[in-house]
Amino acid sequence: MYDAERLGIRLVASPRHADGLMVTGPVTHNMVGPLQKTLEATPGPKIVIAVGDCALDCGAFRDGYGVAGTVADFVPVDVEIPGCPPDPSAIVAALRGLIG
Amino acid sequence: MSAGTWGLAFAAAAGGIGTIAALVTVGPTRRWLVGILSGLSAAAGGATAILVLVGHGPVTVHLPQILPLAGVELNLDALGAVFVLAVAIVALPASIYGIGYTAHGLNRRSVQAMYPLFIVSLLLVPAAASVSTLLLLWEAMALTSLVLVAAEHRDRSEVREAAWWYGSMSHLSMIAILMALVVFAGHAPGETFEALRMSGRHLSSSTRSFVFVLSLVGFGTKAGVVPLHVWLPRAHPEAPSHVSALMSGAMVNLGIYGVLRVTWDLLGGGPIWWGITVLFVGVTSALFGILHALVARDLKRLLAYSTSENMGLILVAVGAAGIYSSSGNPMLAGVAITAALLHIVNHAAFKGLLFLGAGSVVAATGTRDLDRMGGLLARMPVTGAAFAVGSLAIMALPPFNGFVSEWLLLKSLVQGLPASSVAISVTMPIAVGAVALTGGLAAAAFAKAFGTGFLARPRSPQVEAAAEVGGTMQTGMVSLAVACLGLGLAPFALLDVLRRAGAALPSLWGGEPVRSVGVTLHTGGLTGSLSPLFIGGGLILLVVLIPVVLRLLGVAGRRRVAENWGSGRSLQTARMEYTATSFAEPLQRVFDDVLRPEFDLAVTHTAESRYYVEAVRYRVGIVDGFETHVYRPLIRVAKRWGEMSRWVQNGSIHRYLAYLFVALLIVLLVSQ
Repeated sequence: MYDAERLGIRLVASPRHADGLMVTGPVTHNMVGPLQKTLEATPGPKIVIAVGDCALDCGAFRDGYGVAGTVADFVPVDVEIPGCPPDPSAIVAALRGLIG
Repeated sequence: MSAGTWGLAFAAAAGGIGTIAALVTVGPTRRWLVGILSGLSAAAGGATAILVLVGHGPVTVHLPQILPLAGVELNLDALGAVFVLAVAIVALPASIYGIGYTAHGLNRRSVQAMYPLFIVSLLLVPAAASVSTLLLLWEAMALTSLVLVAAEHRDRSEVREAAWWYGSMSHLSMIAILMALVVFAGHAPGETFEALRMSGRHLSSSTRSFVFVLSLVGFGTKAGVVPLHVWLPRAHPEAPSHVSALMSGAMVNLGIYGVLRVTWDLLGGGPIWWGITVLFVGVTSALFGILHALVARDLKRLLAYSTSENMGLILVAVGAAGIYSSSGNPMLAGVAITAALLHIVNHAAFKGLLFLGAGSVVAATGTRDLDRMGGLLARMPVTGAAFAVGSLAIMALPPFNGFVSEWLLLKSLVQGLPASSVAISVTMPIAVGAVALTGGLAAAAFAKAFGTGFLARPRSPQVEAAAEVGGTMQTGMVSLAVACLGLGLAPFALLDVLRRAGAALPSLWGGEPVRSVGVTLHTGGLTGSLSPLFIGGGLILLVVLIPVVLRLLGVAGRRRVAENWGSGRSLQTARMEYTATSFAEPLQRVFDDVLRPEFDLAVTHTAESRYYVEAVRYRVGIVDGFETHVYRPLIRVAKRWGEMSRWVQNGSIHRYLAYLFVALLIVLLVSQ
């Protein structure tokens, strides 16, 4: 059981209600704008978490024709969680590290 | 002649001169003369009502020459004066508003000539003191308003249809009132209210119940209670807006006046089931009215259904008063009837204001469809602010006037609960629940009306181009908004004079139900007090204070201009805003069983692939269940009956001679 909600970490419906963004893949050309708009819509102070190798360095999708770059190329990333896929306990551990 | 008599005479004369002026003048002169003279008439009526209410005694006029046989009997007592005051509160601003409003194609002779007469009839109906005078004035009121409803009959077929519905329903109601009062007068020594009042208590109980039921049906139709309301959501939206304001703010009240006058004054009150009947009629109207207001897309239709709802709330108070007085609790009955009378005056102010606001929107944009509006607050700041005040008042929020009367209403219902009587302990919880639910839904309905109409961005080009209305229209709206605030902050002034109105209904009044000590209201015999001035003043202070404190702390002022959150999409248009329909949709689902919406969803695909959607069409229509399931079948039956009579009356002279012969034979046989 890796239930992160028991730690008070919850998925919300809108970035207006969020404390941070979690990006789980490479940034495609179509999603550059929405990613930046989403970050702008999140109230500060905010954190960006890049989850998995795909988000960190595009992983298997690197140099794909639709891929524009990694998350860090477009928005400032605060926490990186490597792995393909990352271990669930590693995700929970990284999130717990954020909330102290 | 006393001052009050002069007041009534002046009101009637100003109205009459207004009508003549409308007939003989043209152009802007006509608009101004009609507006000013109607306003003077309303002001004179209002002044007379205030004179009566502050204790100058009733105004009595006896004019034997005017009406053959019976003569005209007028007697404005304190009960009638409350209703005259409610009429004047709407009629004076509506007349000023009308000067500017009628410039938009309504400055026709027929319309302008009827308007002052309508106001005079509204002012005089509560002063009628005999059956024939009441019926005469009632009919004058119905006919003048019918002409005004049909004002735009050349332009739109809906207006003609609305006028038909209104004319038919008001004549059916007239028949019911006529039957009730004629039977009543037949059992009394005369037809003056004095005579009826003396004999009212001594009639047989079946006659009394007959008069009660028929007068409830007749006057209830005018008040727009469910299921006799069908004309109201048709006629009020189609009438010119200053007339809608008068009809919704003033005319429907007179239905309540009729119920109070006949049942609890002339008949002197009755068994407990009268009160229970009135209460349940009120509960049904309140809930049904507000549910339809909630889902209405047409701004004026929304307001019209809300009128049905408010008349329902007033009847709940009247019914509760009847129940309390029949079960020997006159003090509580007094609190309930105070709530009813106060709500009548308050409803006149805020519903008049809302209809005038809606009229300005219609004049500026040419549409009544909320789904096409939006962003009007920026384009029409005065209208927007006035509509906001009206919405807050009708939501019963302090510091505006709806709050005080709804507080008193709930108070009177809740305080009856620890009661020994079975009738009270069964009906009052239902009434409290219904009133509370109505209040919540009313807040949602008017959040929708103001939110989708005035906030956000315009949803159609003609709304985008809207501009603020002229000075006279603004004056009308602002003065009613000030009235809403004044009545909300200082209801004491009115509550003190309502005592005299209560004294005119001895069967519903006991002790001193609502006292005001300084600026605090106390309900007699009950715990609890309320100080609207402190609550309202405190709220206003908070609203002013919070931004000031925030600015001093340096928190305010840090502003960031950003795009609305649109799920990250790059194209955002006004079409993606919440509309009135989508705002009401969740509640529409909840109340599916009552509203029975008809909707269809049609998705068309492109020719190349059915995975690509070409267009999505969503249509939702909500029809009034009473109209389709009760009135339409009745109309069909009436039509068939009419067609059958055509067979009897086919124009053949031979057949008519045969009828004459048979009729003569029958008469001879019967008279044997």
